[in-house]
Formats: sequence, C-alpha cells, structure tokens
Amino acid sequence: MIFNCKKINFTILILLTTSLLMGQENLNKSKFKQLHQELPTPNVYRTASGAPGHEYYQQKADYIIDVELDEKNNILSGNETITYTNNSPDILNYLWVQLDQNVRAKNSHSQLTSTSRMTKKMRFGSIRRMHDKMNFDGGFKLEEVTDMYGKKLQYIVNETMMRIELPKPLIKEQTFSFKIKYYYNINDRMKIGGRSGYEYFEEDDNSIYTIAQFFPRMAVYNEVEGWQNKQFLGRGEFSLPFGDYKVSITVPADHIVAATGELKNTSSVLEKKQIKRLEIAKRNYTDPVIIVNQNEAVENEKTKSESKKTWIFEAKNVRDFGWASSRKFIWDAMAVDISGKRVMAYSYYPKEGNPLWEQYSTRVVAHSLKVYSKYTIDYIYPQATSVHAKWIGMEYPMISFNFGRPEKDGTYSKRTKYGMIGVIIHEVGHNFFPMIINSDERQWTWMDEGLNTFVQYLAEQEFERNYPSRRGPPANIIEYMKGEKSGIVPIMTNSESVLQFGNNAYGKPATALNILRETIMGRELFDYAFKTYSQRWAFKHPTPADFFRTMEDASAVDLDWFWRGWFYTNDHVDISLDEVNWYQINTGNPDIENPIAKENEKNQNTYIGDTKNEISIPKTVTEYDEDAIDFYTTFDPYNISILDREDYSDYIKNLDDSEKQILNSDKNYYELQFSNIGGLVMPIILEFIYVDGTRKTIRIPAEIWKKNSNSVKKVFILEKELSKVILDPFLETADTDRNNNYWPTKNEPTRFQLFKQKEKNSENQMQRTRKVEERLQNDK
Amino acid sequence: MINNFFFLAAFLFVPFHDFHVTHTTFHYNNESKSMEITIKVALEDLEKSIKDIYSEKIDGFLDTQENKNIEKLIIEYFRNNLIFSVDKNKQEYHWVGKESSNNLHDIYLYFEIPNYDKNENIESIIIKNTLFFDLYNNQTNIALIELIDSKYNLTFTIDNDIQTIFMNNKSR
Ligand SMILES: [Zn+2]
Repeated sequence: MIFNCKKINFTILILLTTSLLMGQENLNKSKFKQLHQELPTPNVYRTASGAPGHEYYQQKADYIIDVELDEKNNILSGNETITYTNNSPDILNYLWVQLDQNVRAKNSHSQLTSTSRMTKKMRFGSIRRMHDKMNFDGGFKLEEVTDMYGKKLQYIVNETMMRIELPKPLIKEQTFSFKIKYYYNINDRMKIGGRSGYEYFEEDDNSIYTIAQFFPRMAVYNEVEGWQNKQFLGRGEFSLPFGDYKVSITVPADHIVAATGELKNTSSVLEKKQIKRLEIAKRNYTDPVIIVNQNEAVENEKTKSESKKTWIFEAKNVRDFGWASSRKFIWDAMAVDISGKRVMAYSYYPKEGNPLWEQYSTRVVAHSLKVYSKYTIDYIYPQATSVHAKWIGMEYPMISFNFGRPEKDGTYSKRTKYGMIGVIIHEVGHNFFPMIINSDERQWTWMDEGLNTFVQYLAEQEFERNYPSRRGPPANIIEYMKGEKSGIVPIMTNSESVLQFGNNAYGKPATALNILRETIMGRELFDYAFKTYSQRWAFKHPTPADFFRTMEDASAVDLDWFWRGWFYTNDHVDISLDEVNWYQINTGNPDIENPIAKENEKNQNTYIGDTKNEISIPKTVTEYDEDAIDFYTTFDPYNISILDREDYSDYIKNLDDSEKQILNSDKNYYELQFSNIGGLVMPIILEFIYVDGTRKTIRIPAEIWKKNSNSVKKVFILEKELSKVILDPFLETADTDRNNNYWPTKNEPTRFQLFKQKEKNSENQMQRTRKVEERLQNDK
Repeated sequence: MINNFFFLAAFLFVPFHDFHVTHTTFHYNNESKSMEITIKVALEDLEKSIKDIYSEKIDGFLDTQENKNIEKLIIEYFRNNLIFSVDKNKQEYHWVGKESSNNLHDIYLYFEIPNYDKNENIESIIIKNTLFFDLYNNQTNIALIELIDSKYNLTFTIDNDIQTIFMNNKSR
C-alpha cells in the first residue's frame, strides 16, 4: 500500500512539474503587457487612478524639543515630548521610534553589514580615519523614557529602532504623549563623515555645526508597510510622518542659528540692527540683503561668549527638523514671490564660502523655489535656507546643507561654481521631494532623488542657458545603460541593494522622466500629469504605484510599457536601422518603363575587359559583315511594339480610378527594417534627408513594437528620393550604439578620435586671468 | 574596518559625487592599427587618489597647462592600476591627453597603444583594473573592449580585479 501510494504521488509530481514548466513558457511576455501583476491592488486607501482613496489616512507626530549645544565637548543634549496621533483604523500596542544616531554607535549593524576588505597597501590617512571612526563613541545615550507624569515606559532598542510599549492600546483618533531625555556626542564630519556633525576651523578655533537626526523620531505607520522599521544602514534615508514642531535651541550667546521653521523670539536673540536689516530684506525681492556681514562675522569669530541664548523655532506640518549654528556665520536674506505670497530665502556661510556664497546662494534658493513651484506645487513654507557645509549636500524641511568652497586666494574653478549652484538647487528642491511629497526614502531612493534630479535639471537649464547639468539629457546616461548587466539593477530595487547608486537612483529616473516629457508624452501632457501627482500627494505618503498610475490617469497615455522597461528591467535602448529598400511602382506602360529599363541597363557597372574592347576591337564580325546578322543580332528588347501598347491599354481598362491614380503617382516606396538590440522598446524617430537636401522628421510611437518587439518593418511613401536616413537624430532616446543609426552606414567618431583631431588647449580661467592682470599691473 | 569609513564616505557626497564608477573603453582602430584607450573617472576621485599618494593638490589642474608634474603623476597612477596584457605581455601606453567632461564632473584621460599587434594567434587578453580600489571599498570599474568584430564588457571590483578574455582562434 505504502509503496503504491508513493508511486502515485511521484507520478502526480512529475505531471505537475511538467505542466508548470509548460505554463511558464506560454506566459504573456509582451513588453506592452499591463502592469497589473507588478502593482498592488487598488483599495480604499489608494485608488486605481493613483490618487489617495476615500479612506486614506496618515499618522501625526508633534514634537516639543529642547536641546543644548555643549561647544567645548561637542555634546548635544536634549529633552523631547512626542505627541503621537493614531489616525489609522488599527489598534496599536507599541510605537516604533527611530534612533538614527545609532548608525555611528560602536559595532552598529551599518558597520558590520558593509562588506570590507583590507588592501595590501594601506594609506596612512586611511588608517588614521579608521582609528577615528572606531574610537568615536557615537549613538544616542538614552537617559529617560517616560510618560507625561514621569512614569517610566518599557522600551527595547534594536539598533537604530526603539520599540516603546504603550501602557494601553492606542485606538483610532487617540493620542499618546511621551518624553525622552538623551544626549549624544557630535561627530567630526571631516574625520568620520556623516550627514550632520561639525566642521572645525583650526585657524580661528571655531566650528560650524550642521545638526540633524538629532532627536528620536517617530517611524511611519501605514497600510503599505505597517511600521516602516527597516533599519537605517546608511543609504536608504528616512521615512517620517508629518507634524508640528516647537524647538528651543540653546547655544553660546554669540552664535547665529539657522533652522527649520520660523524664529519666534527674534527680539531676544537678534541685535537691533539685524532686526532692522531683516525687515528691509522682507521687502526686497530683487537681491539679497546682508543681515550679518563678513566684517561682523570675522569680528565675532575672534572671541567666545561664556553666556548662552535660546533660539525658539516653530514649524507646522513638516516631517523633520534640522538646524545649524556657528559664530562664523555671515547671513543674508531676500524675499521671494510665490504666487503672491512672500517666502524668505536665507543663506548662512562663513567667510571661507566667499566670494561664491554671497553672490549665488540666496539667489539660487529663490530661483529653485520659483521653478519647483511652477512644475509641482506652490512652496507654502515660510522660508528656505541654504547653509554652507564642506563636502556634503543634505536636505531637511526648509533647510539644507550645501558644499562649494572657493580656494583660499578667493578664486574658484568652474566646477566648484556649478557644483555649488547645482547642489543648492538640488537640496532646496528636496523640499518638494520628499519633504512635502513625502515618499518612503528608506524603501525607494529614486522616488525622491530621481524626481528631484529631474526638476533640478529643469531649474538648472532655466538658471543659465546650456548649464553644465550632470543628469537629465539622455546622452549622459548611455555609458551607464550599456554597461555589463551584472552591475546594473532595475530602478525598482530597494535603496540598500541598489548598485551604482548615483546612476540608478538619480540619473536613470531623471533621464526617464525627461524622455517622457520630451519624447513620449510631450511637455503639455507630461507637465500636467506631473503637477497632478505633486498636488495629489503633497503632505501625504505616495508609493511608486501612485506615481505610475497618476501619470497615466492625468494624460491618457498608456505608459505601462515604459514603466516596465525603464523601471522594472535593466534593459537598454539600442535600435538598429538594418535595411533600407527602395521601390518604385511599375506603371506597366511600355512607353514609360522601357526607356527606364534601358537606361538602367546602360548604367550598370561594366566589366573592364568590355570597356577596353570598345577601343581595341574597332569592328567585330557582325559589324563589318552584314551576312552575319540575323533576327537576334538586332533585336532590342526595349523596343515598343503595337502589341505591347495594346496589352497595356487592356490592363488599364480593368483598373478603377483610384487604382489608376496610384499607378501614375510616381512615388518612392521605402521599406525600412529595424531591430531592437537593447531590449527597451522606444519610439522610432527618423530624419529623412532627400537628394535635393531638404529634410523631414518622422516620429513613430513605441507601440510600433507591440506585436514584435525584436524586429519591425515600416514602409514610407515619399515624393522625393532619399539620400540619407538618421535614426534618433536629436539624441532623445539614450540609444547606446549610434553606429547602427545611419543609412548609408556611417561610424560616428569616438570621443578619443574627436579629441585627437582637435588637439585641445585648456581654457583660461580665473587664476590664469589673474596672472595676466598681475603681469599687466607690473608692466605699468 | 577601514572600508566602513569609506562606505560612509561614499554617501557623504550625496548627491553630486557619483558612487565610485569608472568607465574605460579599449577601442581597436583598424586604420591606425592602434588601441585607443579612453578612461572616464570622477575628477574628485582622481584628485583624492593623487593627493593621498603624492600629497599633491590638483584641484583645477585642468585649468592650467603648466602643471606637467601632475600629469606625470596621473600617467604613473594609470600605468600602475590599469594593465592590459596580450598573451601575458604587458602593453605600454602612450599618453595622448585629457579633457574635462561637459558637466565638469568627470575627466577623460586618453592613452594609446600604437602598433597594437592584432595577431590572429593571440590566445588571450588579460586586464587588471585596480583604479581607486585603494580609495573605496565599493569601487566598480567597467571596461568595454571593442575589437574589429567582437565586443567584451567587463566589470571589475575589489574582489575581482583581473579578468581574462579568451580569443577564438580564427587561424584555423
Ligand atoms: Zn538628493
């Protein structure tokens, strides 16, 4: 019995496996298949149109924080009260709080899980940094976690996450408040890195503090992830609920503080003249007004106050809070008009940032706010701040830390200048993605970095014509896209597993959106849909599906194939123009066709021996001996007989008028054959260049590949004869190999060959110009 | 342990610093019979690497022509860290030049192997690519080898820094 049973099972198993395999082979693998299987099923929280559903909810976390900076010991100590509101239909038994500083704790998971290897030749600098990092005692030191009455709450810390037990379950619309007292050692950014920390200036014994992730923060709870308590390992940034903040920052009395939100106790922290200047700045929409000038800042650096001041800031409906403090700060301000509402643009920088910062920072903040407001939603926060911070670009609501430091002699390279303008646009732009359109960075880096890099590109191009943008134009992503596939993962990959982070999460999605805008959808449809997405999800938590769906919903352009190819695969674009075949209609009329045929025969290439014989044989036998001639000697196949003409008129009689018209139209028929080598389906964009030199552009939508995504043929009926065909003439599809884009075939010169041809001389720049000026001075 | 720092250091440069990728193309030019080498690296990485090894500051070195010294350091660095061998014979590179990318972020370096021996009996090409492995743990180097009728796409990482291409022997 047992034996038999087994046998039966075995047979069934085999059958099942076979049918499973067969099933897989027969699956719909079309590149135009809709994304139903990839996207989550729509529900009452998130609709099929990509908008928030009628029962969409999100949690709220309000903070009251008091922090004090101990400048001598580089310690930050804090006391916070978090008020958490459960808007979900679910009952919560515990809360998850994020302890991001713990990423710097000794033996943290982020250190343990990053693969490492010793190299044979270790550099001294590297070893010193290793020691600095290992010796640093980072991470939150929690002193007290209590309820509002001082009663201890039970909690457990798991790396960068802390679970707090609720005294009783929190049901819908209930709030729970609790307090955390803590401190942590602030990291030296220059030695051990980090998104925040301090930079020490030896020359004047001062630091610039750029402070963030400085308080335990609530994790997001929603219907997508439950608690988003995925550990902070370093790359996948933050996922944070919205709330209102009141933050009191106590620092040495001679520091200037920049922060998220609005300063609430201006008269007790600012000098009278500073308040006066600030008032002037509020009315100045054209250029920045200096609130603390360079001389004042330099004077301020020279001494250290022993007393303290508390700066109080408030911010409404933000997802985070950041601040900066130093006695080195120069501060300027300017008003920006956003749809009739005044927003302030601020910059804080040390003398080391000048002359660049004074000239550009605030102007760029203002410009960014205007451009992003145009393409997304009006910026509604009261201010936006740019703080000078060597090496990093990092974003928080209303405040960002940005690099860009000139040389000590006050000159700077072109790269430093455009790098600084670019980073300020980018980090101010993060106010929109993800600070307002609050995607989950821990899960999807591209949702904020990619979308932000795309609008950054638009803002850069509006800042200066031909701005040297790094990301956006399709040509810039080609090197990445054509790389070996094991080094490339789809955009839809979790932040921590992304390979080639910059290209994957910034460059490729930004380029993809740019291609949608310029090539697939057109600016009008794209801009409306992109704005719709921004409006729908402002101050909410969107997911990738919400973005994909909204872009279709608002435009009526089926984009599933595009998302599938560009976001779910690592295919690239390489379309090849394989063949061009030219046909003309044979009218059948012997009076037209016979002379053409005769002419064609004459134009055929001639064998060299025949050509020579024309001369070397003066007369052949049939030419001098008439008797050697018969019917075939003189028969001309192109001669037209009466019978030929009769046949033709019989043929014409059987045709109707429209057929006759086609027959006599004298058109050129070109059959073009394309193959898809890269895998990504894309529109076919062609430029026809006719023999008379005129040109015509043809745009064929990507759906041409819908029945066969490997190879397609297309016939064009043209008045004129073609001399050249160019595929992707305007460099808009990121085609990785352009050597198969031409008819007649043509190889594009490589970068190497172009360089060798032009024997490039480097250009004069600031230092060089200065030398010239100095020389001129000396000559005088 | 040391590389943990570099892991952190890598995202310090968010968003502008690319995440440590170089691209090299070896392109055989059938007309000039030479192997044309184009290397694209982030200027920042190159600066850091040269600075760490030779304690030289090279910011802005593209802007001034006079600094031949630094050019020498760069050539030396690449000769030591990008080795191209044909049947175990190391090929000598000649310096052609350098230029900044349009977006100012990268630098293109050009080398050439003149009179490249495209012998039909070549059995293998071996490439060792260790560019910036001394600097970053997560460095990835991509190389594209374009011969007349074949292309090879290789990826080098710290754990995989030597790769061999076996040629199909066409002599028979
Ligand atoms: Zn960013």
